[in-house]
Amino acid sequence: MLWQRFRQGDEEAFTLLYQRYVRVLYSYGKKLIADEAVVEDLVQDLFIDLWQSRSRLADAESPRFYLFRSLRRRIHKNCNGRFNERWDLIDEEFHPVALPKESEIIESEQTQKQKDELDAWLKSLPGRQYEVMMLRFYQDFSYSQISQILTINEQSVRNLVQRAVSKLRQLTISILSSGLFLFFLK
Amino acid sequence: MGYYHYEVTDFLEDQYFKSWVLTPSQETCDFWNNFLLTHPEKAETIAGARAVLLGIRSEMEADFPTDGQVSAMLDEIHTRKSSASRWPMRRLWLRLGASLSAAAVVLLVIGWARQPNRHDSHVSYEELLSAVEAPLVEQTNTTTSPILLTLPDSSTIRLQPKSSVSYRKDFVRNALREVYLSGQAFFTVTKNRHRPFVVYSNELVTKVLGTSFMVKAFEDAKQVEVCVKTGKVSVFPRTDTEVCEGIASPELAGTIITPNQKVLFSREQTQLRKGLVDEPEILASAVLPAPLLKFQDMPVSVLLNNIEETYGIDIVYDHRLFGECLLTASFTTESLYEKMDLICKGIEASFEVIDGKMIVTGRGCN
Repeated sequence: MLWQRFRQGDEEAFTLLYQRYVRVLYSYGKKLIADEAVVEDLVQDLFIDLWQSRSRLADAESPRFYLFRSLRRRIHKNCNGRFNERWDLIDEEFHPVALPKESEIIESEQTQKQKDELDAWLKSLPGRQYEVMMLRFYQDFSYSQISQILTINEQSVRNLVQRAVSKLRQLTISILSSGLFLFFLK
Repeated sequence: MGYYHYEVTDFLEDQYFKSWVLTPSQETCDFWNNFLLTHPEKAETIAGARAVLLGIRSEMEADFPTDGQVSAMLDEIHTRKSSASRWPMRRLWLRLGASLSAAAVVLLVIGWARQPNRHDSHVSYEELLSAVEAPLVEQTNTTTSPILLTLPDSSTIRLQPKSSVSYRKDFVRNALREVYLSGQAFFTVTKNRHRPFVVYSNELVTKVLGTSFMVKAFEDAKQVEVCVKTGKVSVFPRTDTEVCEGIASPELAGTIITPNQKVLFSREQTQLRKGLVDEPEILASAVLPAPLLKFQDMPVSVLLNNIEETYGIDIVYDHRLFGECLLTASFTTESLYEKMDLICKGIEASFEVIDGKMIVTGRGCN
């Protein structure tokens, strides 16, 4: 509905679209580019371009998918070769998963600390793996949509998820003994 | 439910599990706590899956823009989207068909009146440099093949033989990113709206915010040429004081050229002329439709519209005469000009390029 109103030139619908998606898009951009000013520019350009080409946009497409895909392409274009260095060509071995020391965890009774370990795991994921996990499990995109956003094939997307999760498995085994699972029984 | 044999990935993929973790309700809490009591062996798996979902969410939310940022960005989007609305303009342009020639006359007169003093003649690269007070870095290509230079802001310059560029040593700290060119170079500029990128070449100034383009300005040549590959470029003579004053602002004034367009600046007459590049390319854009390759009994208007969009150029023609003509053909690797040739043959028309636009004329096919 919103999308159709927007395509007919409804400014209010455009603003609503913006309000709905700007935060996640910006945050996604920040994960790929460190410079805040550049991310702001790219997100603004995305919405300006969206407005100017509204009459030519397809009907059935999901706005969220459309916006993520466009932003990703923009980022890729803007960064030229530098982008690849950081994300596409990174050898995963450069980011070893920092497994917490078991003894340390058994001593600690604070769940906060264990949560930190998991955060550290997330941060230690190679860029692509993190990106795929985020798109799949936070943004709820289908595997086929993710493969279009990243312009890689669907099987590669699945592989990236599998690799990230298998690292997690090593991690959870080592912290299980500390009784981490109790924190969600509260 | 078969949750007892689920692995981490299965839980992550499960909507009911996710809704419990991310937006818990009384009902889902009851269900999952109960499930854990009866299947304690799944606790580890569930803890892992839950931590992933919560971890990713908090990571994403940590980078959310502030409310101030969100509204500031929206304000800028609103101003910029209304100042640069080229599509409605074009529709108007086509509708006005009949009054076109009158408008052209008016434009000519304005163009003539705006022309700067003609006696203010040639400016050389050396003169440009001598006017700069700060110390400069200079690179000259004395080889016979192009060389690639990288500027401190990561923009790149592909410098052709017998060409030189200079920029200030404090390039990074300066409010403007200024480069002086003698000869020919292709610039790929990193985006930064707050620090416009400016190329001075002979009497011509080219200003961009982040795009790629070529400048050809040899000392002894009669004209200066600027071609755009991506983005938007503003070009103006140095003598246009009005535009030069606003050079540090992110607004683009002067003559704006877009991809596949070029500007020729005649040094004798200090005059700018717009045209199309020799080999227009299909634009690589996320939001544009795909080029039409095969079509059967398709109205020419649809086809020309697609070409306009995929190449980012304007095609002017009479809708009443050609709009309903039907065409059947397929394109493979034809260039823009070859495609236009084929189309025009099909509808017994001809085309020419005027002021960066393609004008199609003929008797129509009724």
